[in-house]
Amino acid sequence: MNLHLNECRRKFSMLDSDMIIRSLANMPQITFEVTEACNLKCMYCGYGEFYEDYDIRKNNKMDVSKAILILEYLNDLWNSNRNQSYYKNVYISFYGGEPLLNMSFIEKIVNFVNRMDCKTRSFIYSITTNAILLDKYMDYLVGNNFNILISLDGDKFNNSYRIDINGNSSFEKVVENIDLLMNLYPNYFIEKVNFNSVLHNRNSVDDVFNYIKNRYGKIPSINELNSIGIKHCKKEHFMATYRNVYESICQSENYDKIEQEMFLKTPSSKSFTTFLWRHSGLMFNNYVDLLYDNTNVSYIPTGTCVPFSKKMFITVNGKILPCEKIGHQYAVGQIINGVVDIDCEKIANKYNEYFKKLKRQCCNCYNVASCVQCVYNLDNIDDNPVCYDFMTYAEFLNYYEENMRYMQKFPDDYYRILRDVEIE
Amino acid sequence: MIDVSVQYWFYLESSVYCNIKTNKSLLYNTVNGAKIVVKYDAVNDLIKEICKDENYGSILLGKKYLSSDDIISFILDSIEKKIGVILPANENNKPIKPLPIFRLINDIELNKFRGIEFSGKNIFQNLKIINIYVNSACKNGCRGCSYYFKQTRWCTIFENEYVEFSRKNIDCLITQISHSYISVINIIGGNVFQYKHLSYLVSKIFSLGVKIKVWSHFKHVDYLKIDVSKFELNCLVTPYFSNSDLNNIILRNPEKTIFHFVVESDIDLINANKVEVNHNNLKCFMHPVFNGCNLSFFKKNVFLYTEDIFCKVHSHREIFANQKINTNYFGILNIYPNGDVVANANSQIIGNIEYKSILDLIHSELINNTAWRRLRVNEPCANCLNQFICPSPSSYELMIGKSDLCFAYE
Repeated sequence: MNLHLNECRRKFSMLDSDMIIRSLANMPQITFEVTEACNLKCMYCGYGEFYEDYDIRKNNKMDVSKAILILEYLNDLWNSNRNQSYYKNVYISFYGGEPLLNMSFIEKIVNFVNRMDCKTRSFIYSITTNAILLDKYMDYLVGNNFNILISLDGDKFNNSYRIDINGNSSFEKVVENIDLLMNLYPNYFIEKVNFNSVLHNRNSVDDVFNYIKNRYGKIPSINELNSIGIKHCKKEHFMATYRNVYESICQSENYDKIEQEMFLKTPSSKSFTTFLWRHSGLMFNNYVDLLYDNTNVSYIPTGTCVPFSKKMFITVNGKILPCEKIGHQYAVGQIINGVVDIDCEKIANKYNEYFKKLKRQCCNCYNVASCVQCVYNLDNIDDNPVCYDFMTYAEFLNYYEENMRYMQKFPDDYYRILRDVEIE
Repeated sequence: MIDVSVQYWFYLESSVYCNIKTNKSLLYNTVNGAKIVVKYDAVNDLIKEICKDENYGSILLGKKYLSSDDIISFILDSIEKKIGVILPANENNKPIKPLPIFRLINDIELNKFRGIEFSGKNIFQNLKIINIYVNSACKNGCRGCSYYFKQTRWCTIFENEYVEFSRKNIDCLITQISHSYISVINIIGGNVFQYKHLSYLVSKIFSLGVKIKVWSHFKHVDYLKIDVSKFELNCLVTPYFSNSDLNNIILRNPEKTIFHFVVESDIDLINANKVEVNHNNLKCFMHPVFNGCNLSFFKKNVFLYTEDIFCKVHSHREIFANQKINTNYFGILNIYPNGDVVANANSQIIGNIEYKSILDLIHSELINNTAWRRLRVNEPCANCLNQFICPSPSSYELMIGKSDLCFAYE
């Protein structure tokens, strides 16, 4: 395929407040941190002993009035002339802690959203849960057509980091509940239930894939431990626990089968999809892209999303963040004293401060077109950040060759991606 | 150069566009513009084999293929034109070179085929140009008033019924498009300079930062009525114009104004060319118009020969665009003085701006496709190798009543 080397692509522009308001008015997802409380104490939890970049956890629950305020704020924007869609889906997601511990909040929000006057949006609910309370609430979730993402790391040993506050394994209860859901609502289970697994030193991609595929007929998403915000004193322990997904797949006895069946859930096929999307010249995002030659389009430095272009995350304390993966100290707004405080000009300026520090690197990087490096994943963003995903020309050619080798090995993926994969 | 006792892998360069019909094929290099038209069965079958998914873009040339002179000749021709590549073959070096497969995300037709309903997500970005016909007042009585505007951007009086684009509709429109991706708004009449809300409309659009173009018959231009620095003035010149009248306008503002001439005959063309020659640096465009009696003029000046189609290099993007949208009309809405909206002057009304929002109208056009996605899929074009290299169908095809305005059928 034609390689679009981006000599002419390294034109950069900065954020402005208008871009942020536009993102707010067209945001596809809101995630509520429903409660800080959790009925498990998983060893690797993002709010656990390894990490330091979050507010102190006090088992607080989110105030319904705060959630309603932000929904009303967004509804005004969805009904305004900044809205770009005739009709589209918005995902309302519930997160925690363990969200099922604050079921009354969820019920109230679902009730409120279902009665909201918004002709340009339909709402889809989703929840990430450890499934300990699934038996109690599954009828409600099914009745309201929730997408359910269940956290499960594999069999009993694989799952042994997922313990309750007394140090007991959660495995039996979780599996019992999942089996119940599957048996009571088999069609729903097929359509709306998925699994998320964390990779660590007590499991492998093989283990997780085989267990969940064989027991539930599902292909899990497998994620690595988040390596940002680790306490200095815990770094050694963390490194002993951490495992890399790509390496684990390569070590698998059934490497080819895993790559094929997991398809877009493996790092290499994700990388190949991004490569085809951004560099092959074969994929077009919309009709308008067909009309104009986009080789001279300008980019925002780094691969950081424009705030709120993908989602909004609201913490129990009413802090507003662009994503649940970002440390709480980087909040871009808050819901306080009955008011939604989002200053788009201030947000743009803050982001641009970070971008200016990295622009010199970006100007010389050959991977601008498919950069996925979020500025919040870099160390020292307030001082002197360095991007370790920077690519020289030689490194970019190497990246190109890697993807060509992937295509040599899995040529059918080329057809699958270009014909079948939906990209948001 | 080819040793027939050796086996080779043969594949196409990734820049090659391939169009295969039943018993003929076109291979076109979208980088250097080279092409091969294949009409021999043996070669056509070879190309069909290359295009099969399971061959991943390359096939083995052994005795079966290399014993054919047609195939050898084709291989050599393709190598010279940088269309094909050969590689001496061994067991392990099959090249994986799948042909380009273009993918449009949120393709309405593809989603319809898959049973996925089109929601209208992020569709506002599709609207790029608005043509506002502000009034239907005019005393010129141009012969082609009822059909010029159906073939090119031109003024008209909409069958003598006097209507004006209301101030209420101006406000409604401006509010809705204030956060759009529109790049140009064209203001057309009737007599634009008689439109009582012209200054108001221009200032409202100007505040949005959108480029404004005013299209007026040259006889109506009145430089005292409005500050022309806020927009680009396009003067419309119909046949049998008075040279002295036209010169008056040209001399007043020659550099900024663009002149458009309707031409229906060789004489019209000569007269328009004379104006261009007599005034250096004058920006002029000629717009052929079919009047029912000038098919021979069209055949001489508008119909395309093969050399015309291939006079420039067509990129993959352009060819793919012709397969998905009408590149003449896509992204354009025309608003008539009474608020009716059409995607093209020859297509049906899709709504009225007083009762339907712009988003509604865009959605309606994308779903119902009155013009934006009108493709070159009628016979004989559907069976022609140049089908998607030729430009999208225009209003000329509709007015003349035939799809192929060319001498290039392949």
